[in-house]
Amino acid sequence: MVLILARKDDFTANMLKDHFKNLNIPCVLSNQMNKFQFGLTADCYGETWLSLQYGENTISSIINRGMATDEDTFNNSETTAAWWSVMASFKGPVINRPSRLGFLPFVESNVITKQLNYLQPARIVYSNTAAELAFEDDPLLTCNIHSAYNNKYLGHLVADSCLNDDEAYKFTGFNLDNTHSFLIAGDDHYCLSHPEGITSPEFEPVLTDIKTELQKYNANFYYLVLEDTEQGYCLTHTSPFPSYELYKHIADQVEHSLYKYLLS
Amino acid sequence: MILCIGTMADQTFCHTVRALMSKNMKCDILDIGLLFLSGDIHLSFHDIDASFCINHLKYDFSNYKGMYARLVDISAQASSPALQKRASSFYQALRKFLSHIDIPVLNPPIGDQSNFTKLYHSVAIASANNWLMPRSCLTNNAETATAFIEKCNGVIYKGCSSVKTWARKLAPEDLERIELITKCPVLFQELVTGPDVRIHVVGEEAFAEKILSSSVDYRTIKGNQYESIDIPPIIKEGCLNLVKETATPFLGIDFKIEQNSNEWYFLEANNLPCYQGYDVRSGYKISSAITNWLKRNKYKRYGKDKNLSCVPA
Repeated sequence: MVLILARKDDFTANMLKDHFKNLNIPCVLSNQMNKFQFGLTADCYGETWLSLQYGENTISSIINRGMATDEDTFNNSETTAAWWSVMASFKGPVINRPSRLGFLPFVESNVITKQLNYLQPARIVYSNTAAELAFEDDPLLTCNIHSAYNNKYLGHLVADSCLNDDEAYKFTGFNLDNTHSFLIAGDDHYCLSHPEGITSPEFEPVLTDIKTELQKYNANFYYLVLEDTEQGYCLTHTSPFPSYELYKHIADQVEHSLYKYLLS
Repeated sequence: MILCIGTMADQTFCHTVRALMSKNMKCDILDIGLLFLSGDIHLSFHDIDASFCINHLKYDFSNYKGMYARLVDISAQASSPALQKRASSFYQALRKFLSHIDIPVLNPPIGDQSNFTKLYHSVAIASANNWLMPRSCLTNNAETATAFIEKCNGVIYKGCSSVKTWARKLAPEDLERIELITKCPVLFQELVTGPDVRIHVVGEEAFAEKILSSSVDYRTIKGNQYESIDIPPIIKEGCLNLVKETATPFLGIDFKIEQNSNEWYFLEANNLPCYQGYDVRSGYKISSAITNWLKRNKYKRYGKDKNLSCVPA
């Protein structure tokens, strides 16, 4: 049985679950640990054994969509920690397996940029005040806004953007004309601006390099935004939480790639 | 000049700041509680620059040569959801920035996060260093727990996350309520009888202290005996490697020594250790090592030279 570890209201996770159900693949979507029975034991040399059951069903593969919750309770911390240990120690395939670096493989774009000697993104600013000032000197730049609180995309920066100084935002500047978005799904990758997801040959070596870097972090369901400038490549944005809306035009292919990985 | 980022409500942060100042190190203090409540933040990643402003006092990142950061997520203690969101967003932005900058930071907030999940943390670090660890079982299943308990010669139990819980020795009456673990998983570990050891590593220096206690969890009682102890080579080598591997210059690493075999069992490594008691007993060797580390400027990242000060906005 496939476990999609996600919140019930995670639309992307629900679409994945529907896909598996349509293929008659047993699948459960949940992050409620008390619906599962598990035992993770370790001997004194650090070798581990894990059993993970959902009722009578043994979990054979997992898609990790995170435990995001606003609840800060003891039980929530313990459950999150337990899922982290369980998924990190799981012997079967896991999409976005937790590691020592985090529950979800958040790999900041600047980390990969440094590893692969790409250009630093044109502008990344975290601010709670007047961030638009940082971008007004370059009218060619588009500026995306993400919440620093939960990393959610909030929109483009425009003159009347309704931002207040009550929280910090991440502002990312880029040139829209040179920017391409990609999705890593299992061992495959897709160009999201192409109707069939086909990546042009010029980007293949770049994506292979990035995928190799991401694999070090167990990141294999990943959204990437790459800017192709005259000076070189620039990784503008990365996210381990791709949304269905980004890939709905090639959803069957993406979901098949994920399933293929789960069978590996 | 060093920028110290933390909260003055944190005794460990205050202890370190006092130690740095007592060694004539020039420091500015950025209290994250005040920053989150009423400050402004501007962190620029492309030209690696930052400024913070609290009550008309502006802290310009370009003026600092090093940072002591004890960045704790205090958002859960916020008095309203809006303040909680603000504190959390500032915290997330700061931890990314402090892990990206080109000056030495003790400790950069992003690195090994696995201390949040104790069993995986122990397994990953113990096996990477060929250290022993206590036999362990994390479960929400009473049968699995009971089977593990029966195989062990004494068991302790505790929470599996980084939220503080006391380790307790399993008593027969605890088995009567073992079914409760279906609601919240519990970490069981085979009892290792013998002293605890805390090793603090600062860069390439290690300071160890043995703790003899009448309690299973020495943190729960007063009257423990503390003694300095020599560290076996395999343990010391692993501790120094852990600091390098995680790019975390300051760690507090816990072990138990089994009293009959004298074997060391790894428990956990903490990148925000509350070390002040150990420091006082050692004659301030640990805080001296922290001061020296910050002075040495060894861990350059992106390479720019900076000066610093705290000036009115």
